[in-house]
Amino acid sequence: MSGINKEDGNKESDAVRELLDVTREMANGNYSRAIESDLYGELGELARYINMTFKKLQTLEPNIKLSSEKIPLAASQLSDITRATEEATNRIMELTEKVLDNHDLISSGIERVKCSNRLDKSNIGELDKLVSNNKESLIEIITCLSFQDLTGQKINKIMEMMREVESRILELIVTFGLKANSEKGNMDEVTSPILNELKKPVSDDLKQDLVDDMLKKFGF
Amino acid sequence: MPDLKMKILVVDDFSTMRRIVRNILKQLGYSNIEEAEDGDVALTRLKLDRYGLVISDWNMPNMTGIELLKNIRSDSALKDIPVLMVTAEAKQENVIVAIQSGVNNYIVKPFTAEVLKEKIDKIFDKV
Repeated sequence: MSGINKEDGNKESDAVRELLDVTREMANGNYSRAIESDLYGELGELARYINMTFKKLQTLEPNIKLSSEKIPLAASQLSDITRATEEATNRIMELTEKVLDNHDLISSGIERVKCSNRLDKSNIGELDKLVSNNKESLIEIITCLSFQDLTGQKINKIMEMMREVESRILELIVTFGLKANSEKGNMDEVTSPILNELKKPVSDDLKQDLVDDMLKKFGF
Repeated sequence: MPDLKMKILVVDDFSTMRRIVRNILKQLGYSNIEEAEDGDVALTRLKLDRYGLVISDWNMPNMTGIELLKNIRSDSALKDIPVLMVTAEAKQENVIVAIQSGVNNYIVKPFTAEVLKEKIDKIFDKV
């Protein structure tokens, strides 16, 4: 006589079949279906673990989706910033070079005036024009410096995006636990340096005077 | 005293930075200036002509400033060319690596014209 009757046996096979179907779907990336059959003993334990894993994996997709959208966006913003700062810097350089060239002309003009016995109005007129050109250039330089405001705003947006990505990554780490091992070793060892870098607010770079102290020690 | 007519090679992947250094050098009286956008291009230029000074950034594509420095020091024709690093790399370990690789002096960005003049003068006081 069997301890399991035919009806129980069928229920058990259906449940195992359901277990198989659900794990197959999980392997194919579908995390929305949970196991509904009532299972007992070891199979029940297995079903509960699978359902728990499903719940965790359901947090994976939206977090990855958000991160994969935000990161290229941040990269594109950074590219815009590089372009904007380069354009502004080049324009400021052009204007500054113009001012410097005019400055040399003004200096030579003043020397000519000093050397001559009388005031030549045409010389003075030329100097006046150069001074006026310089003033225009300097005002345009001030205007060009407004790029800092635009790039500052873009940087703030990027920082916001990165904070959001950071919190999603942290959510994933917490969800999947810190005990998971990867080929590169413990997840903690991989993620901690990244998180520490994100949190680091102040640069620990040396300033020139500290570099000079170091150079002195080596005989420079 | 440095020779104001010597040929100087300014190496940086940012054209704006090369322009800034060129302008400052011009103000200091140096007019014979050439540029290279990375260490690889710089090394090719150095092998083709005679240079009195190399002013190089650290982080560049194709060949970094530190790799350029090492290549210069290991080339018998180039090894005595003074090299001044002008770079945003400002960690202690960077300075040490540069010194060990044979740099003549080291400037951290952002820098002033006075600092550039001081470091160039110092290099040629020793040379």
